[in-house]
Amino acid sequence: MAPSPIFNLSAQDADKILSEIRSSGYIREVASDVPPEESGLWDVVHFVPDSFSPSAKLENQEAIIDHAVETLEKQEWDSTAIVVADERTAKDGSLLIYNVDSTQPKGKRLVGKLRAVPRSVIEVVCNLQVSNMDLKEYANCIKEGDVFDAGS
Amino acid sequence: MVSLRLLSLSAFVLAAASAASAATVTFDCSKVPNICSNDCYALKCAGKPSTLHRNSAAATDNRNHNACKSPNRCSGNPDDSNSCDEYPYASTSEGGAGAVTRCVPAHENSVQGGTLSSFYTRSNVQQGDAYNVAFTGTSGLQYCGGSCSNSGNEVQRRGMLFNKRQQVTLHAERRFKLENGAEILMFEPIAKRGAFNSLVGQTVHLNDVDVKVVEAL
Repeated sequence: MAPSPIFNLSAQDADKILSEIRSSGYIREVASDVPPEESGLWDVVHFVPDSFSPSAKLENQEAIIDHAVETLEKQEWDSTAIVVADERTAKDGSLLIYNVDSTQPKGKRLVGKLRAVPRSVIEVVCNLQVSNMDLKEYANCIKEGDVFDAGS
Repeated sequence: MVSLRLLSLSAFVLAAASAASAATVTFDCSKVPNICSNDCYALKCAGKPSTLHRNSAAATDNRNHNACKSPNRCSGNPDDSNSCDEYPYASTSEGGAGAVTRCVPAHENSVQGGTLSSFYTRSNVQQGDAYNVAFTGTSGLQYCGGSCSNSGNEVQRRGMLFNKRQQVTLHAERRFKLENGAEILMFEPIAKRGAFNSLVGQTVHLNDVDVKVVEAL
């Protein structure tokens, strides 16, 4: 599977965020017989190089989605799911996930969005990539607040 | 007539070879019992194919054409049935309209998606590639053994009778032993009886590891 992009709009510590994402117990649950880094889930998401650069003009939702669909897809990224580390990430650690339909015309590609704790990002993204579950199903699992957390 | 028979034979041999040489994903039903029940119902009782072809490009469209379309009928259900599972999977050419669906626990469905995603990556299943579906730990599961009597939890969208995806394949249950001692259940098309025999000696994907098939039971 091609990786889904993470846009680091606030130039936060990418290694730290990626480490939190990969600390997911979900990987161990799905791939219980191999080390997590050898599972097919370890590289489900990757940071887009230099995506925090102001020159990239990725300051709004539509620009991010268009960039992923029109530029990254040609470079073998998967734009079905897009992850964004934004200003709120700096405050509460949660990441924003967009579900995108790249077959739709510009401006109509966003299917839905959801905030998730880093350790639940791989779970959500890999399910979006194979269209096994949608964001509404994950949102329905949130008991309190607006951030999806499947637990450790 | 002879030519037709030869063509039929060639088609059978090719189909059998395709199924046998394809990678096999094995779902551990101790982790996802409701998913396995739905898949078994689809295969055994609704005649859905046991060899699928990856088609990620059609995945979103496929899910939008069956009872799992968002927001779906499982939304708002209790935790034991709040997510919509489908077989054949949305990320295959066989998915979409006519897929068999069931409301399952969201966490189970989520684990299944991860298993499929991991399998595509680890087994290098590319767009258009064929793969087989197998199950382990099916003992006592509804539809994986015994009756096909629908207790009401299985739903298949009607009105698409002439769609090629609605073709029914009759299956025979086949069981194989793995080198780790586990037993897997597969559904072999009756029209291609013996097609899975050559799986012996090959590996199947189970819990992210390739495990060798050692014996047909």
